Amino acid sequence: MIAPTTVRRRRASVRDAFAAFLRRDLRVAISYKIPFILEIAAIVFTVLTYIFVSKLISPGRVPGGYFAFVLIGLTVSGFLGAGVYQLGSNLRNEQIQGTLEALLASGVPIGGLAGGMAAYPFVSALWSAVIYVVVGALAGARAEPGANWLLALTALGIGAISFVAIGLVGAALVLIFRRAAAATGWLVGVLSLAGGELFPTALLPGWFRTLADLSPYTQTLRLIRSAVLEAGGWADGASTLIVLAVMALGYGAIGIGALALGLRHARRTGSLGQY
Amino acid sequence: MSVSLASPDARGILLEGVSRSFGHERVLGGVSLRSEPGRVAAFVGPNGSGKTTLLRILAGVLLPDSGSVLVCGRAPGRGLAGYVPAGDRMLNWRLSGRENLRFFARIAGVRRGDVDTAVLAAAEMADGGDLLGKRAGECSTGQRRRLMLAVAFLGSPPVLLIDEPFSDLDDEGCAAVESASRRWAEAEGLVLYAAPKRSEGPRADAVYRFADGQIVEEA
Repeated sequence: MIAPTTVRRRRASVRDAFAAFLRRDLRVAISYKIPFILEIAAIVFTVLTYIFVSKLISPGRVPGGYFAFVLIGLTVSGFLGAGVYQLGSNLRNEQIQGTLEALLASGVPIGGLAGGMAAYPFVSALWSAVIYVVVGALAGARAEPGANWLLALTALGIGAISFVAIGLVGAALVLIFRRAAAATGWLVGVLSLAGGELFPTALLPGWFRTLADLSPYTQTLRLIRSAVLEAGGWADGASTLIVLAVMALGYGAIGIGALALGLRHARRTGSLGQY
Repeated sequence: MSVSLASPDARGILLEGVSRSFGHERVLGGVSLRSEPGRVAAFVGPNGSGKTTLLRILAGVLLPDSGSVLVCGRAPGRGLAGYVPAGDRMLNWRLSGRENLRFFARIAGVRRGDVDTAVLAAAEMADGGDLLGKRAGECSTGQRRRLMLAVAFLGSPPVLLIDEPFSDLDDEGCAAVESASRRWAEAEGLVLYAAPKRSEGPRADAVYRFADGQIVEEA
């Protein structure tokens, strides 16, 4: 680097990029005051709705009772949306703002770009999850005594890698087709259905259940519910954890590869800054 | 001892047979060029003559159809060039000038402890120190251009690539670009800019005149 200023640049690490995106996106989110309050209100109304729905379902139908069961589904769904939907949407915003070209010219590593764009959506999902848990607990939802929270968090962490990976494929589609957000929204719907977000997957037709097992969302929800609502231990969850880890590796490689291909396509066609 | 422009230690740029088409339209037709560090170089020529396309290729945001490109001895897009595109789309309009610059400083790999120093130095060099506390969305187009220039100055990259450097700038802004470009050249950096006319950029040590995707004159 040269002399005009005393500070020098080096190639940013994935951590640098992650921290930069998180700080920027938090600042942007905080600059909109009303949505924070509205989000809490939206969660309260959703929880209220399911309190009444749960009264229609007899307590023994699902482990922990329907209200606690669905509360876990709703809480984890925020992380699914953060990964699968929000990544493509954020990439599109970068494209519209014109920051995407500047980011790529700066040599940001692809992992930093991917992790950075996912950083704030996951913090936001975590914030929603806390509100769900607090409002749900106030409304009477209870975990099983001896619930394995550490196992549940581990499942969520590993599952989230796959959610981001699927989102990276969506982001690649945004780079190629530009308006691909509708497709990722549709995918979130399919994964939610297959994952048994609001009902047990045992109600699904057999063939669809088999397909649903390929979804990391299905496996993540299954393991979290087992850990929290049935006090499932590490031994009970080991096989599902291994499946989740294999999915994270496989989907992760596919996601990063897809984003790299998408970026290459956009560089080739000159569409990085087009919207 | 001179360093080859193809060496990883090089600071200039080296282009060989760079071609690029958009659809059936050929925008660059086998451009070759070597530009040593320590100077300000201008790409000038009429609209659509390929200047911006070449700048974008050098920035690493566009791939050539054929030919080779080296920026400081490496492929483009490795963070060795500060890039300012034309127009005023590059900043987050919800954030202040300072927050925008902090973001890009971290992305450019400036160490956390050095970010504020780098931001201040870059903003002052672009005559944008007074814009640090102002939201980008509340800035005029010319003020946003100054902030964009400051982004390119962050961390003193060896090469600056500026599309339409005087566009939307007032006299003070143009003087700041002139002064920064000169400082870059004196510090063995390289400034490359594209402008339709020579008067729309800082004083250049080398001028490459473009027409129909070719360099037709070098002065």
